[in-house]
Amino acid sequence: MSMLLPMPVVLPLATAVVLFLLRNRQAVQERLSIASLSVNLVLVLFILRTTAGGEILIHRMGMWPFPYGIILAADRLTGTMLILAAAIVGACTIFAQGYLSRNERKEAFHPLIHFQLMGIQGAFLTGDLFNLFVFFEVMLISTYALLAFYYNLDQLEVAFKYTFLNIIASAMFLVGVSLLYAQVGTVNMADLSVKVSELGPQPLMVVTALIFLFVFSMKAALFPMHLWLPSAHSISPTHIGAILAGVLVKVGIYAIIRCATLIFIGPYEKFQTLLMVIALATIIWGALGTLPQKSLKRILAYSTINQLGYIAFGISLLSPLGMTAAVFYIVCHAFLKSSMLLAAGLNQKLTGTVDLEKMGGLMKKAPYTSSLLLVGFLSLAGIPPLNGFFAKFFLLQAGFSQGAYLATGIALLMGVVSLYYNFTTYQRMAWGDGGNEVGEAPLVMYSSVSFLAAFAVIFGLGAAWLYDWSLLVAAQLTRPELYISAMRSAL
Amino acid sequence: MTWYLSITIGILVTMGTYMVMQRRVLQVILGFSLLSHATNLMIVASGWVGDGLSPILSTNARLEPGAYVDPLPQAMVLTAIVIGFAVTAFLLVLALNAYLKLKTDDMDEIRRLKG
Repeated sequence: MSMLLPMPVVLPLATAVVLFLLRNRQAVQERLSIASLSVNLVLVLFILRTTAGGEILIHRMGMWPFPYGIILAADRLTGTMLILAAAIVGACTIFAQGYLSRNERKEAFHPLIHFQLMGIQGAFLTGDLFNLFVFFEVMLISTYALLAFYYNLDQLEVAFKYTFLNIIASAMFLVGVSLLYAQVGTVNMADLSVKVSELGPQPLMVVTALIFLFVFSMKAALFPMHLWLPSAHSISPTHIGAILAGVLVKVGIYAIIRCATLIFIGPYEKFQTLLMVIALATIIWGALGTLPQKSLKRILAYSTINQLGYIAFGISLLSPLGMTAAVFYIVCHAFLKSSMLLAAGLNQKLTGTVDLEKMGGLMKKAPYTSSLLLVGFLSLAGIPPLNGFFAKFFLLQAGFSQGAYLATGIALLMGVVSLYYNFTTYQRMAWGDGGNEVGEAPLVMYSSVSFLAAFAVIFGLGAAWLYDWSLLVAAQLTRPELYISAMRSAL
Repeated sequence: MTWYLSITIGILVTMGTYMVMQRRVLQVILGFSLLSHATNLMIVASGWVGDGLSPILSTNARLEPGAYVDPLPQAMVLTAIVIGFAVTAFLLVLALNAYLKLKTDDMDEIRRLKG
C-alpha cells in the first residue's frame, strides 16, 4: 500500500514532461492533462481512504535506513490536504479550458500546472525538511512562471514582487535548515521531533523555529508577509489566482502545522503569544483591507488574508480543539475561496470587468453566476447553514473554551466586519441596474465553479461529519509519537 | 578554517543585501545569487568538522567517524545550488522579457509605469 505514496509526485512529473513534448498538439495535450488529473484524484482518494483508519503510510525512497534518505509519509492530515490539492487544481484546469482562448499560450499552461501539482503534493507527502524545501521550489518556480503568464505590465510587476519575496524566503529556509542541522544533525521530521525535544527550547532553537515561521508565513501570507497576496490574486489569470488562494497558501499553513505539532513543539509553546498576535493582526488587516477596494478580485484576496488569519488563530491555540477548528477551516476555505475566485473570473468573462462600480445589476443579467457568488458571500460572512458559519463557530468555541477571551473577542468582532463587507460587496455587484452588457461563457466554466461551490453547501449541511473527521485529524496530530514510531518501524 | 568561512559568509551576505537594494533588475538578480551562495556556504559549514577529511573511504583510511566531514550537507548543498541556478535562470528570462516589453530595467520605473 505504501508503494502508492510516490505516485502523486511521479504521475504529475511524468505527465508534465509528456505534455511539454506534445506542446504543438493542443487537443491531445488538453485531454491527456485532464485524464492525468482525474487519475491523480482517484489515486489520492485511495490514499485518503487508507489513511482514514488511522494508519500512517510510510515509504522509504531507495530503502535507506530510518533517519537517512528521503521518506514519504501520509497521515490523515496529508490525505486531506492531497484531496484539496487534487480536486481544486483539477477544477481550475478544467475552468481554464473555457477561460483561455485558443491562441493564448495554452501550450505552456498544462506542463506548468502539472509541475506545480507535483510540488504541492510532494510538499504534503514528504517527511524530510530538506525535501520539503525542494518541493517548495518546484512549486514556486512553476508558480512564478504561471503568474507572469502573458508578460503584461501588471503581471510582470507582480511576478517580480512574488519572486523576490519568495527567493528571500527560500534563502531563509536554507539558513534555517543549516542552523537546525548544525544543532541536531538531522533533517528527517520524526528524528528532528525527538532530538529537538531532547535538546529543549534553548535560545538558538527558538530562533531557528522563528526563521521557519517566517519562511512558512511568507507562503501562507500571514502578517506582515501578506503584502504580495492581493496583487498576486487579482492580477494573475483567474484559475492561477484560485489555485493560489485555495491550495498554495495552504501549503504554508500545512508546514506551520507540521512545525507546531511535530518538529518544534517546545519552541512553539514559548512563542505562542507571538503566533496569536500575528494571527490577530492578519485577521484585522484582511478585514479592514477589504473596505476601500473596488475590484471584486481584490476584495476576495483581502478576504483570503482575513480567513488565513482565522486558520492561524486556530493553530496558535496549540490545543486539540484549536487544531480541529483549523483543519475544519482549511478544508472549508480551500473549496470556498477557489470557487469564489473562479466565479469572479466567470463574471469577468461575462461582464468584461472586475470593477464593482461597473458591474451592478448582475442578479437580473446573470442569475446563475450571481447566485453562485451569493452562496459564497453568505458562507464567507458566516451565515448558517453554510460552511463558513460552522468554521467560525468551532474556532470561536475553541478560543473561548481555552480562556483566550480577549483574542477570541477580537476575532469575533472582525467577523462582524466581514459580515459587513461581504454584504456590501454583493449588494454593489448584484443589485440595482446599469453596468455593461453580459456576454456568454463556456459551459465548462460553469460546471467547475458549481462543482467547487457545491462544497460550501455540502460542508455546511454535513458539518457534523466534517467536524468528526477534523477531530480525527487533530487527534493524530496532537500525538506526534504515532508519527515518529510509524517512521521508525517502516520497512 | 571556521572563522574564515564565517567571514566569507558575512561578506557575501553584505554584498548580496546591498545589491538587492539597487534599482536595476540585473543587479538585484546578482544580489540574490550572492545571497544564495552565502546560504549554500552556511549549509556546508553546518557539517564542518575542524580539519576533517573528505568523506571518501579508501582501504587504508582512518575509520573513526569524527575524522571526516559530514557528507549529508554536501549532498544537500548540491541540490540547493541547482535550484538556485534554475531560479536565477528564470529571473533572467523574466528580466529580459520585462526589458523587451517595457524598455526599462529599473525596478522603480516598472512600479511607476504600473501606477
